[in-house]
Amino acid sequence: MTNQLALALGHVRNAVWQLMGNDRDDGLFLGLEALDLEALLGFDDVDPEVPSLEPNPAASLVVARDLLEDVPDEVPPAAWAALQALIVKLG
Amino acid sequence: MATVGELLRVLEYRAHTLTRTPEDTVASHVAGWMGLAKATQHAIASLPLGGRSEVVKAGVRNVLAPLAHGPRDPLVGIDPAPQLTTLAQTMGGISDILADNLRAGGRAEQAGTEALKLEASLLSAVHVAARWSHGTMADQKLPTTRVSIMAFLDDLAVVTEPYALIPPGQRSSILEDFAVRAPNASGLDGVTVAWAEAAAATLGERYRVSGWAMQAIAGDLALLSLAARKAVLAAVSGELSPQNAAAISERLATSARSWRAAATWPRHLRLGGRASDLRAASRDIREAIVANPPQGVGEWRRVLGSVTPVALAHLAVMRRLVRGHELWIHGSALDPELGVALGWVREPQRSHEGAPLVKAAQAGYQALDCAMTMLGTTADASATTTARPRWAPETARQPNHPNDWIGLGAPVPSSRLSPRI
Repeated sequence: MTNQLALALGHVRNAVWQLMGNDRDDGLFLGLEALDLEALLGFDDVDPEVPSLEPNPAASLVVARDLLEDVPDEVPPAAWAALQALIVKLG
Repeated sequence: MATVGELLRVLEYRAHTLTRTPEDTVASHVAGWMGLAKATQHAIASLPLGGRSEVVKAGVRNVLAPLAHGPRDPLVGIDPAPQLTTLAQTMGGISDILADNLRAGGRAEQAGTEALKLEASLLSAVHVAARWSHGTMADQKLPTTRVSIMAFLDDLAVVTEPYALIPPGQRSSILEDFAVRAPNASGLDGVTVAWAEAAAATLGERYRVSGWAMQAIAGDLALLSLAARKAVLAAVSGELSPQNAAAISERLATSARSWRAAATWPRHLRLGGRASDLRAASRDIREAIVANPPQGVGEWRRVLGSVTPVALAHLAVMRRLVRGHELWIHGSALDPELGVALGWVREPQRSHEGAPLVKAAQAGYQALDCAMTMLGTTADASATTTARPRWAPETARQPNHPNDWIGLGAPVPSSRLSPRI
């Protein structure tokens, strides 16, 4: 496991926190999808980093994606589709 | 998915359309009653009537026991009367569903009156069958066996008669919502059963509990509460009064809000581990809510009934994790300057970062449990479970449908029915 994956996982966790914690009705559903993504990335029980918050959940996920693109061999293939779909949903 | 209410309608239809056939000999009735009486005993035994079971149910049990036991000499080569067999199969289906749903004794609002109403419906059908059977055997010759079974049926008819005097509309019970709890059943009903099994398995084993699982379970409970609230607000007229709908919806809104808070773990708290079973079940819940959410209050009562025990288990586990300081906290939350280097450590005694999660779970469970109780006590059972006459022509089911072991066949048109005793 590299630091990149741990950092990316940290950003996904940030996105979960941002989505679950907002008061929007769709935040809960999207938060659960982000949580699902967290499970995909944390399949090997990776210890996540605790990075600074991005301005919004979409930005957190974009940063996570950028980090993961540096370590594609460590990313479960299913995570790419879930991550991309979530970024699109969040606009 | 077959519910107790649906099977009850089949049972009543069959009981009220019993006719005499050449197979209705004394011996076949003796054999037939062994099955029906046993199935009835099991169904009644599952009902939480209140009081001391052995005393409260003694009268019915005493009159069913000799019929269930059968004659002293074994019946060899005797086929049970077919119509009694189908009644026994339907009663057996009801009994199985009750036993499955009431394994833990049932909720408070399901005990007492609601259980008594269902008991009345079951025994009313048994009463009709006893009288029919008695009448069928009256002119047959088979001295000792006939005399004793006639006496047993007399006793049964006397004990069950008071139940048969209650009009069906006055004995609709919320227990009629119970259904076969099968994970492979269609819709949210089945998905919820599978989810509840996966969640209970995760929460029940210490090594399987993880921060992710705790968040996912809380989040799913929030989502289910939100969807149930939507259905309650949209409940068709008659299912819930506007006042009750508003009160239940308020509890469900509190439940959704609280469980969402319980799912929002601070970024610096975690508990490692994986839960692949739960991940799949959680995804299925989301898909089922979007694709085909239940509309009726009765279905939601069933769904929430499946998940409420999980909510309680979640609260208990969350409490244990926080009180036992079993969560892991990131050093940066303990000391912003020097803590980063620490990384993840067990939460020290002086830290109580998880306490708000326990409070949220507590509030979520209380609101959900309260909503369940209100759904059980304020919903109009006759509207939610038996919106039409019990065995009205348009709802009557065709008996002896192929592969129809519990009697739920295709609907058949029928002329006006009446008991043929």
